[in-house]
Order: sequence, then C-alpha cells, then structure tokens
Amino acid sequence: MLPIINLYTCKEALIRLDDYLDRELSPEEIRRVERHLKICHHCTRKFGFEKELLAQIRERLTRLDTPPELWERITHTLAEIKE
Amino acid sequence: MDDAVTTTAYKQEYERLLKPLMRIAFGVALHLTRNRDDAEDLVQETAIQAFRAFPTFQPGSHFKAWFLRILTNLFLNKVRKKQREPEIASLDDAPDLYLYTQVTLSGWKKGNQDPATQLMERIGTEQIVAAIAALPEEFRVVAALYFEEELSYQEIADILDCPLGTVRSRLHRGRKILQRTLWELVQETPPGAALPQTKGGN
Repeated sequence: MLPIINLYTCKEALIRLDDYLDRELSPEEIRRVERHLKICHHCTRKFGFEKELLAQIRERLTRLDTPPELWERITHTLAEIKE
Repeated sequence: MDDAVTTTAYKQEYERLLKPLMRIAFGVALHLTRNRDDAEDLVQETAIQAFRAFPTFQPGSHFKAWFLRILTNLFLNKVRKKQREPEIASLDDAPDLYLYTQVTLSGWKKGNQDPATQLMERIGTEQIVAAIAALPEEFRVVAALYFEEELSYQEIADILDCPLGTVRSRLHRGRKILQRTLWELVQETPPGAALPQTKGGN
C-alpha cells in the first residue's frame, strides 16, 4: 500500500479541525491530522490560530466575576428550607 | 438527634460539592439568561431544586454534570413557557476559518506576534460574553457549556439529553456564528481603544 493513501489532504484535515481541537477524533484520525500538519505549514497556521483563539476565549471567561453575595444567598436559602 | 446529624451531614456534603461550581454555574447561567440578575436567580433556583433532589444523586457520579443538567433544564423550561414558538436560527453561517481569514486580510500582522493574540488584544471580555449572548438559543445553550467548562461532546449531550451528533453540529455552527459576531464587534472598536475586561483586568 502506498504511504500517501494514509495522508489527509488539506480539505480532509480542515473538516476535522473542530473535532481535533476538542479531542473528539479517533486515535487514527488524530495521527493522520498530525501527519498532515507536519508537512503543511498553511494548515499548521490555521490549526494554531483556532487553538489559540479557543484557549484565549476560555481564559477570558474564567475572569468573569461571580457575585460575591451569591453563595451567601444560597446558603441562607438552604438553611431556611430545612427549618 | 440522628435525624439532625444526618440532615447536617447531608447539607454539608451538598454544599461541599456545590461551592466549587459557583463560577462555572454562574458563567453558564449568564450566557443562557444574558443578564447578571437573571443569572443569579437561575443559579439560586437551581441550587434549591438540586438540594431537594440531592437524595436521588448517586454518590461518586458526576455532580457537576448533574447540577448543570438541572440548571439548563430549568432555563429551557422557563424559556419554553415564555415563547410559544422556538427561536429560529436564521443567521447565515460564516465561512470556515472566518476570523483567521479576516485577520490575515486585515494586514494587522506586526512582528512575530501570533495573530490570535493580536485579535484578542482588540476584544474585551464583555464583547465575548455579548457574542455568546447573541447566539440563537439552540446554539447558545451548547456554547455556554462548551466555553465555560471543557466538557466532551458526550458530556454535553448527556446534560442536554440530546444526541451527540446534535451537540457536534450545533457547536460547529455556533462557533462560526460566534466568529462572525466577534469580528463585527472588533470592527466597531477603534484600534487601541480601552476594552472592558471585568475583574482581573486584561
């Protein structure tokens, strides 16, 4: 079997981009995506951009402040339920 | 006395599991309700409902997923009561890699800085929240769980009690819509403008 059969084209790699970033591909698909990325700088840039964007969006959302009185409100309400 | 001891231990165990979830629960609720006051109310209401249902919770199972399932169900039930017709996603999808293409075409590139970081320097946290809030409901619910917590597609499907394929397709399309909205928000912000970043700064 020719080795090239196992290589994804750019199109085949890119349609798996989201699933790759979300770790939803099979081990074989991951291997084939990563083999493609080793030889394709264009796709490497695109995958890198999406990965960094996702990481930074998630990181920003962790900065959202939770109202400090929310936990207090909840515990007070729970205490009232029981009494 | 035994009952009192049991009840106290029950409450302590519930609070021990719940407290670390406050940030995630509030984040998800904020994306769903699009409003801080409503988000607080939703988390509080969920906390009470989950407390009442706590005897049915199987120790050792995934408390976070269980709690988020109650939260999203409460939200969806409220929404369905308010609207007779479901919200229809009529937004056009953005093309694949929309932001990558726009940033590449924009000529912003300076030095060796990675383009995603360049883009994010122009986006405030409140703009990200606004972009998620602008998603139609069916995409917003999935996106809220996805962005706030790194849940697998299967975990999201279990929380929402829907097929995994539905989660995948809504998430893929939701991301495209989100990218278009974020770009529109960036276009409205002059370069170098101070962006609100909420607590913690940028």
